[in-house]
Amino acid sequence: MATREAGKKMIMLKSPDGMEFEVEEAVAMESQTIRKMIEDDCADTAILIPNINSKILSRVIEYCNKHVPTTGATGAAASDTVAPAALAEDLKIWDAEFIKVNRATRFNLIQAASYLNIKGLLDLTSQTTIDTISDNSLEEIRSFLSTKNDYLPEEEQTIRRENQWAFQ
Amino acid sequence: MTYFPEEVVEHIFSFLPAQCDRNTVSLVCKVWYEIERLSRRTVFVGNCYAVRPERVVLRFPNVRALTVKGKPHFADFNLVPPDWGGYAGPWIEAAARRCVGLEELRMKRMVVSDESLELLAKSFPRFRALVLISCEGFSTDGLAAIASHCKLLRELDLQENEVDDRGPRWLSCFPDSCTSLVSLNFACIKGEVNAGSLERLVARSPSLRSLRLNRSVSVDTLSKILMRAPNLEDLGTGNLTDDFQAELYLRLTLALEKCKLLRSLSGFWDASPLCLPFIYPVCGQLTGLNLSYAPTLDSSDLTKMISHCVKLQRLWVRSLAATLTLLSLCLIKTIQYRV
Repeated sequence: MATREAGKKMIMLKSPDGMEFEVEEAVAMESQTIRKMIEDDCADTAILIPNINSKILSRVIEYCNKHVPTTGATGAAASDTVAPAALAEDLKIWDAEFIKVNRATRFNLIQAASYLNIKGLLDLTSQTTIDTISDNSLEEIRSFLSTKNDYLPEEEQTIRRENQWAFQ
Repeated sequence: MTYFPEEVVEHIFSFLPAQCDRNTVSLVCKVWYEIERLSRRTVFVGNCYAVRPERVVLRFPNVRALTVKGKPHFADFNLVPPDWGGYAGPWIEAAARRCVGLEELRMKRMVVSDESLELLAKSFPRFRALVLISCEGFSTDGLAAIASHCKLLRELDLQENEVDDRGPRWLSCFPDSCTSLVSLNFACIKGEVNAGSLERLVARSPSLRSLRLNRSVSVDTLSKILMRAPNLEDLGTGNLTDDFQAELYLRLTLALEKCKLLRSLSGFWDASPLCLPFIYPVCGQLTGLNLSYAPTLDSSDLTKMISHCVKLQRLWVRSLAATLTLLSLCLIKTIQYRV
C-alpha cells in the first residue's frame, strides 16, 4: 500500500466485533452513509458500523480503497496520466476478481453496501446475484436464496398460468 | 435465511430486464411477487385476449412501456374476419385509469379508434413513444391529437397501418415547443402533408435520427429537409418520380452527402431508374437498403445500385428475379425477400 501523505485526514471505523480500521476520510466517504455522518459532524472520534463484521468491513474498505478517485503526490488526479478507458478496464478486471466470493459473503456484502449506501458495490453484487439467478429454475432460486415458498399451490398455479399466457 | 430489505431486492431486480426472468422471480414468494409487480416498467402482452387489460394495469401499475399484440399474423393476408376484435380501446382506457406514468405504447395488428388516440394523448403527461404496426381504425385526426398534446414525444412510428386520411392538418399540429423528436415515420399515410410544416418540424428537432416520409413528399422538399437534419441515420425518401429535372436531383445529391451519419435508406416510392445515379454517392456508407416499394426498378437497375453499396448488410427487395440476381452477386449478408 502506498505511504500515506502527512496531513490527510483519517477516520476510524469500528466493527461490532471490536476491530478498528483507520482509513482515509476520502475512502470512507465512498459510503454515502458515512459521508453524511462526517458532513453532519457526527464523526469526531470513531464511527461504529453496526451489523457488519470485521471480515466483511475489511472487504468493503478494500473495495472503497480501490474505487476512491485517486490523487497523486502533487494532488493532480491520476487520471490525468492514465487514460480513463484503461483505468475503467483495470477497475472492471479488479471488480471481477473481488466478487469471486462464496454466496454467504456476497449476501453480506449486499447488506453492507445497502446499509453503507455504496452504489458501485451494490450494483456489482446485485449484478452478480442476477447472473446466478438468470437461467435457473424456480426451485433452484428458492433453495439458493433460502427463500420460503409461501404460495398455496393454486395461487402459484394462477400466477404461473398468467405469466405463461400473457407476459411471455 | 439472509434478509434483504425490500429496496435492496428491488435494486437487484432492476438488473433483471428479461420478462421470463421477472416472471420467474414473481413465483418465488409473495413478497417478491409484490416487489416485482410494483417495479416492472416494461410489459409485453403477446395476445390481447390472453389477459384482461384491467388485470394488467392492476398487477403492474407502474408500467412505463406497454406492448400489446392483437390479430394473428395471417390477418396480413385478409384471412381474419373483419369483426375479429383486437380493440385497443379497453387497453388505453385501463391504462388511463391506473397507469398515468405510461410513456411508451406499442401495438401490432389492433383496431385503434381516433377516440382512443385522443384519450391517449390527454391521459399520460410523460408520454413519449407511440408505435403502431399494421393497425387500423384511425384517421389523421387521431394523429393530430397525439401531435397536439404529447409535448415530450420522441417517437411516432407508423408502420403499414390503414389510416383514413382527413387532410394534411395533422402534421401542423406539433406545437412549436415540440423539439424532442428522435424518430418520425409516416410512410403509410396516403395523403399530402404540408411541406412547410414538415420542414419546420424537422428544423426544430435536433435529435432526429430516423425519418421516413410518405410518397407525397417531393424531391425538392426532401432536399430542403435533409439540409436541416445533418444527424439523420435512417431515411425513408418521399417519391422519386417527379418529372425528371436533373437540377432537382443534383440538389438532392448535395443534401444527401451532408448526412454523414446516414446508414439506412428506404422509400424510393415508384422510383424511376433515372434517379438512382443521384443516390450512388451515399451508397458507400449504407448498411441497410429497402427497395421493396420500388417495383419500377428492374434487376439490372438494382445490380448497378448494389454494386455501389460496399458496406451493405441488410437488403429488402420484392421481386424474386431481383433476389436471385443479387444472391448471385453474393455481396450481402442478409436479404429479406417479401411477397
